[in-house]
Amino acid sequence: MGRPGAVMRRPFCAALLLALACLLFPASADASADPAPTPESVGALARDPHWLALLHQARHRPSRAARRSLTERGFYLHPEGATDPARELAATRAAMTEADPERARATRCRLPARHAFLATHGLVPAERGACPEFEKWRAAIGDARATMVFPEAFLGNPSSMFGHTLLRFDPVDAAGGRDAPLLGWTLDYTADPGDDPGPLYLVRGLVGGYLGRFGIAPYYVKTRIYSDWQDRDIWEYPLALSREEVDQVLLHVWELERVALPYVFFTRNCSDYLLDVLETAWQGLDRAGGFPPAVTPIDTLRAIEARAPGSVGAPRFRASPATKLQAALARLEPEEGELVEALAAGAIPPDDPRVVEKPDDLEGRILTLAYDLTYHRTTARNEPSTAEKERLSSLLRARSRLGIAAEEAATVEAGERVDPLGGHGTARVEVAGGVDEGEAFVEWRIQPSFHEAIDAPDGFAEGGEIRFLDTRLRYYPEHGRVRLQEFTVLDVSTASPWRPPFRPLAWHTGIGLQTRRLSDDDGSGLEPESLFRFQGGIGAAAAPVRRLHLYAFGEVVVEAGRGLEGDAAAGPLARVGASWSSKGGATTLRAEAIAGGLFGADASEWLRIEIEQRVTLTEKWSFTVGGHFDRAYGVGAYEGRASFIRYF
Amino acid sequence: MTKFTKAILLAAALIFAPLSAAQADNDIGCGVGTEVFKGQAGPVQKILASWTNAITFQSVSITLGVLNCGSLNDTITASAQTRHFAAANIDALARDAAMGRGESLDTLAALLEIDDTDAFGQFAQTNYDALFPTASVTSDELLVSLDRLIATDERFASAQL
Repeated sequence: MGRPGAVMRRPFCAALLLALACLLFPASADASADPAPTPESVGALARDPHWLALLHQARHRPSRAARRSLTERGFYLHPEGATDPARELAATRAAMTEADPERARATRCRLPARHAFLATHGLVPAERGACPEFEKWRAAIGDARATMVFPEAFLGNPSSMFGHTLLRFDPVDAAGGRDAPLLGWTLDYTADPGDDPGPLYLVRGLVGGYLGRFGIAPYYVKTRIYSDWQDRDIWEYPLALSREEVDQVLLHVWELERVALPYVFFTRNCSDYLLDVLETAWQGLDRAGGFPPAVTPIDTLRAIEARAPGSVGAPRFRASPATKLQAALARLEPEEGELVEALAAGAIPPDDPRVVEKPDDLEGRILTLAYDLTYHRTTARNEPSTAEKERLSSLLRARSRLGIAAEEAATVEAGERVDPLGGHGTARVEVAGGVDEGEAFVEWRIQPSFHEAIDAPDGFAEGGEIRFLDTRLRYYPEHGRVRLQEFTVLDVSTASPWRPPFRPLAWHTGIGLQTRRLSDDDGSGLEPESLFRFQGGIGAAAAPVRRLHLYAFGEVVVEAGRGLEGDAAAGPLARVGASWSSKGGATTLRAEAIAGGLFGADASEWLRIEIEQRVTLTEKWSFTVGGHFDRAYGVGAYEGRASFIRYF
Repeated sequence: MTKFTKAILLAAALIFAPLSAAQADNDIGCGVGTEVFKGQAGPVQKILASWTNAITFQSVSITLGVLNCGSLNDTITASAQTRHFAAANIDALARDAAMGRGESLDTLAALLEIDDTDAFGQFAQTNYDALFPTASVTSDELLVSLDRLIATDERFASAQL
């Protein structure tokens, strides 16, 4: 009460009151002296990208299966930690500062990255306490750099057909400052399918039926598996993480020890989980615009590269034994090659005059190659016989007696090979126009993955092709009709060219929905009909000239659909083709022919001939033009098509 | 079941046919003294397998700490990491020694704290017969021979086996 403005007419009183207030309530504006976190700041911290990264919630929300697994294994301390980062932050803080000092310390030791984060923001004391197991582990790795290791696609095992990624930590002082990559500690995430048979393994892997774990192994073990055993070339990309950032990642890696996460082949796979791990040091790692939805190992590398220029360094190429053998054998004269084969077969001993008379360095190369060839054929995958072991031993002994060191050029350079990062984007969208049996059409195509024969080959396995969820929608303006022209679930082809002494088997398998022009009910014309088709077989490929790829397959085809007489047909076929790419992949030409039989209600022939050309316009755009003629079930149809492709 | 469904099931079975899942048993094993040229089917496979399914991170410490398997040979003083490396890489070490150089040999030199890798490569080649006397030398035997020979060569006086 009192008249308004009474206080204001007493400025002295106001000042006195203010002074009293300052004395009674000392300012807490100096945060470093007493960083009492307010509820608002804690809330903001819970939304901090770094905190979300530590919870593996930054890039996407964990699935229900992931949430359940992570909570069960104690990765989330709060029952709702999987969906509520604020609650998880409060629970973590409480567990790290609880009354029982042993339990508090145990939590701090189990979750050192979270402890470091909370301590930086003043929410827990900086002192972690003694963590002997963690410290021993951390000291064993020491100060390190990080390298992303990428074994190329291994088409002998579907789960490896997009390649694999591993994160290697290279101790800085492993070799007195020298490079010793074999002593690096390699982190990767793998699913263990146990004893599940093939089809079950694939289906479960596609839908998240397996829990995967993180594992650490010395790099020299990994090279034995990927390089020696599976004959995969490996690209090693140094990452520009600072020592402190590597330390942050390693703190988090320790937190993952007990974690098991569902493995989903196309989305939550090795490379996706490794991105989550890197996110703890480098927040904001995104796939380019969230499309494509699948994350193949190459996409992971692209996401890291997109973060900042120089995040991913120039790769080191580690050639597989097969690659090295091919390169070395190619450098020999035919007579020398015969000597190598004879030595490898045990037909002649290492001290055969024809070998010994050669100049020392050539003799050395011949003996070395004979050893490598024998080793590759025998020991690399199986147990050699006693005779083979003796042969290997005598070849090495003879080599050692020459007393000269192997040439420096024993390492195979990448040469013309382009590393996977230099390849085209793995997803594509295509807009096409054309004529199909006299009817004009417009077509949209989308293919989330991965690589086709018509694409620029650089950065991809030679002769390999993977098409996944290839979808084409076709619109005929004359009739106003839209139809699903194609839906290929999966089409995989491996056709490595023969390069003596290697004669790899090529194989192909594909399944999906296709369209054929078939006689309509009253026989007056040809109507497009949808058919389910499975096609698969084996063959061989050759590359007689650089950048020219030839192949031949013997296959079977099964087709089913209401448009067919008798609803289904099957038959054998021969498929041959050739593709040629100009240097740098600026243009590719492709031609293919099929000849076979289709046996259903009736028997008919299947003849198809197709040619296509693609021209690269820019890094992300290509133009294609092509046509085909297809005769089956007694009718023939032709099509011409031109399109623009945008790669992502 | 319609022909259509049958066709789909047949195709599904066929498309998944070419598979080979790499299985590995989890025998971390003490058999570090692995034989040269034993191949993937033998003990080397078990060592690799023990790491393929490296379930616990303690496996890192196990290697670097104490391979608590009861020493095969009391004269082995090499660290567990050196023993494990030699066991997993015995074939490559034999090859590199015969060639007089190589990455595995360089890495072994690093583990033994030998700086001059060229000299070490030459030394391994010159002494190849002593290091790999038979076609079934074990990695522990290799380390024992190496220990003995290095002691006589003053170039490697600083080596730590």
